[in-house]
Parts: sequence; C-alpha cells; structure tokens
Amino acid sequence: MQPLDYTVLIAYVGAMLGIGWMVSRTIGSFRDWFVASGTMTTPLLVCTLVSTYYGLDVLFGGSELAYEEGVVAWFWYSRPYYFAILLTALLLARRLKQRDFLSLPDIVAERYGRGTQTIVALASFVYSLPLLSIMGLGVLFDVMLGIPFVWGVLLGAGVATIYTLMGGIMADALTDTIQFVLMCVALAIAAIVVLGDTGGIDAMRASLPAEYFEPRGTYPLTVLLVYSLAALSVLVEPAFYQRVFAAVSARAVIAALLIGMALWAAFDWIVTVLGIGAAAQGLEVEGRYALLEVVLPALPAGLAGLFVASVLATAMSTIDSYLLISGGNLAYDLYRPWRARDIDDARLLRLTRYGVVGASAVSVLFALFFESMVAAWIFMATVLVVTALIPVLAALYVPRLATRAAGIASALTGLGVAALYSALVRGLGTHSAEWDTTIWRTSVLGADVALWQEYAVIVALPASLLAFAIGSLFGRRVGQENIR
Amino acid sequence: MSGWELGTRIAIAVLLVGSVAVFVWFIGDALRLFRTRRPGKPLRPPPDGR
Repeated sequence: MQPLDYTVLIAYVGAMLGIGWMVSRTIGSFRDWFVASGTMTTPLLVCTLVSTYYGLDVLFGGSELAYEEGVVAWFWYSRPYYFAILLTALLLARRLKQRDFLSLPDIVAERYGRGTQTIVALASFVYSLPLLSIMGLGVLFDVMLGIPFVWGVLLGAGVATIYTLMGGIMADALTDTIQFVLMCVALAIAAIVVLGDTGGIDAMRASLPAEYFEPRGTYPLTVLLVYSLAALSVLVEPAFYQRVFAAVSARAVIAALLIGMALWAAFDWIVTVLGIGAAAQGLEVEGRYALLEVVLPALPAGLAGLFVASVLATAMSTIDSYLLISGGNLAYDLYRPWRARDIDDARLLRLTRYGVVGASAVSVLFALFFESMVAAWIFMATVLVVTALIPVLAALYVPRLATRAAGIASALTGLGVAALYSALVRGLGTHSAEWDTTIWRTSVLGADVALWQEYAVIVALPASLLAFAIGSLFGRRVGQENIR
Repeated sequence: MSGWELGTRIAIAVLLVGSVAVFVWFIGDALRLFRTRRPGKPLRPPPDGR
C-alpha cells in the first residue's frame, strides 16, 4: 500500500467515527437507540440491510468457496438466500409490523412466556455475535499490514466495539449508507480491473477445470441442501427483525428487501467471480485470502486504499449492527425479564452498552476457535434456525397452537438435538482433509452413511417441529393478560 | 458474449448504478427523516412468565 492508500483508509475511519459521534448525541431513549423509534425509510433501510447482511463472511467466505469450488458458491451458498428474502418480504414484513415488538425474542415472549424467550434470546445472541467479520478483520490486517491474525482480531474487535458504543441503530444505519456505497462501488471497480487483467470470465473458463462452472460443483447433494437450509435463518434473522421494527412502515421494508435482493445477487456474483479469478491466475493461497490476493495487486495506488476501506466498511457495518443486537439480547431479552421488570430507560441503555462489550469479548474467543469461516457460518445459522424458526413462525401464523409447552419443547429439542448430533460427530468422526470438515462414517440399517458435522440442521429441525406438535397437544396457551 | 460474461457485466452495472441511485434517494429523503423523528416511547413491562 502507498501513502495515498493509508490516507484514504484513515479518512474513512475518521468519517465513520465522526458520523457516529454526531448522531449519538441525538439519542434520547432506549427505543431511539435500539429501533430508531420506527422512523427508517426505504432508502435508509436498503443501505443498512444490504451492508449489515453482507459482512466479511460473504466477502471472504464466498470468495473462499468460489476459489476452491467455483460457481457453486453463488448457486448454492448465496442463491437460496434470495428465495428466503423474497419469502420474508412477502409473508413476514406486514405481520411483524402490525405489532409493537422491539426484538425477535419479544415475539416468542408474547406467546410462550419467559422460558422460550430466554432460549431464543440465547440462540439469537450466539447467532448475532459478529465473529465472522471480526475474524475477517484479522485476515485483513494479516494480509495488508502483516499483523498476526490473533492481534488483528483483537485490534479489529476493539475498534469496532468503541465505534458501536458511540451510537445506536440510527448512527449505525447512517454510517451504513456510506459503507454501502463504498463497498458496492469499490467491489465493482475491482471486478472491472481484475476481469480486464484476466481477459474476462470466458478466459477464466478456458483456463480452469469444467467443474468450476458447474452450478452444483463437486459437493454431495446433502451438503448443498444444508447450505440451502442455512438460508432459512433469514426467516428468524435478528438484524432483519430489528430493521422491520425500526422501519416507518411495512411497505418501506418490503420495497427495501426487493431492491436489496438485486444488489445482494449482484454483490454475491462479483465476489464469486473474483474468487474464481484468483484460481484462474493460479494463485496458491489460503482460501479465505483469495479475494485480497487477487484484487490488491491489480489496483493502482488510491484505489487499493479505497478497496481496503470498503472491506473495513463491510466488516464494520456488520459488527456494529450485530453487537447492538447481541448486547440487546443480554440486557433487554435476558436480564430485564428475569431481574429488572421495571428497569428505567437510562439503566437499560447503560446495561445494553455493557452487553455490547461482553458480546465483543465472546466474539473474539469464537473467532480464534473456528479455523474455517464457512464452518463458523453454518454453526451459527444452525443454532438460530433449530431453536427459533418453529416457535417464531408458529407464534405469528398459528397462534392457536402456540402453547407454553410447545414453545419450550420446540426450542429446547431443536437446540438439544443439534448439540447432541454435533457432539457425536465431533467425538466419533474424523477430520476430512478433502472437505475440510469432520465426518462420522457409520452404518445405519446396514447402509454406510457419512454424517457431516454440518448436517445438524437436517436432524434438529424436524425434531423441533415434532416437539412443537406434541407440546401444542398437551400444553396451555399464555393468555393475552400475561403478555408483557 | 457468453451468458456468464453478460451476467457479470449486469452485476457490475447493478452494483455501480444501483448503489449510487439508492444513496441519492437517501440524501433526498434524509431531511424529511429527521423532521419526522419522534421522541422515544416508554418501555412496556416484560411478560410475567406465569
């Protein structure tokens, strides 16, 4: 990087902190801080949804998969999300906006009481930990500045935490607008430059094995199914829910999601192309480094700094949003219902900020534990989906079946089965160098089966549904008089 | 030009034009956003868990 690149980078970080500081001064209450008192309009929602959803897991995880496997990264890792987002826009947005919720666990609290609220809040907390983006910052500092991964993770998390504490969701969303433009424009410019250098995507096809352009790649169908099922997390995605509650209307949310879909699809495709570009150039690098290794040498001074700033933007826009949610889970969804029902606004705001610090610390620990970004992404999506999906959808769509027992049984069974399955595979399986995951090869009814650690969702989700059905037969409903 | 090439060019155009258009829309909307901000409502009590 040249001095001009560093100048661009420092200017970017300064601008983000400045905006965050200015907006944070206008916050008057927890509701202001947490859901902007329901004032977000369509363009602001587009910016904050797109930039929040797309963290470094997409940028580095997506390009890692594309570098190693090809276009399957877009067709099976990304595309299922567009269907889930479409479903969410058409089915969920209006229903959520009809009620006065502040968080995802609020929905289950209304129908099932505090027990299920607590379990879903814990799942939401684990899912919302921004460990993938913090891990990505570690990669970035490693590649760009030669700072060891561990120190990069600590530095990135520290900076992002301070930034998050400065403001609530409105500060987050306003900084997201700049981060959104920066990441889209810089990625598009990088694609133009890299494609120019490599002779375009048709030249890549000529130089790579045919499997790279096979939509299914070389993965077993079951693994692709698991990747697709991870998209169900969109239906219980805490950041999405928070933005629905922060939106000025359901119509604004629906419009924002439909516009966002086009941008997400384009962003994913370009990330995939750049990952494949690294393979086409014959780069011998660790998968998660592929995007940076192919883009940075191709960019001139100034543009390289802009690109690195955009990668930082991708990380920061995700880290601040999810730290806000996980901090809210700790204070608003876990502490408040059990220990401080009449908590005053200022104390809740203060406790949530403490929660943000705690969430940041836990994220760092997780970031150092997982080696593959894809593995971490699947783990977190699994925890949320198997715990929250059935209780939340049932509460919204079949409230007459939503009994207290059904909620707790469904959430606990989903989580328990997923944990048991993961423990069994990790304990009895072996690491596969070919697929870079743990696989337990065993025999079921005389047939040989290979159980990947990623399959937990396939086993746990039906178990959660079954537990809900049984619980709805025997349990009793939480009456409206008990709600909040 | 192959479908892959065409798709890639469309994706680049969507990213460049789409993001700038949304940002311009946001700027036009920003003043109204701040004018319509309401003070925060008081918190509701949590569920009692019975």
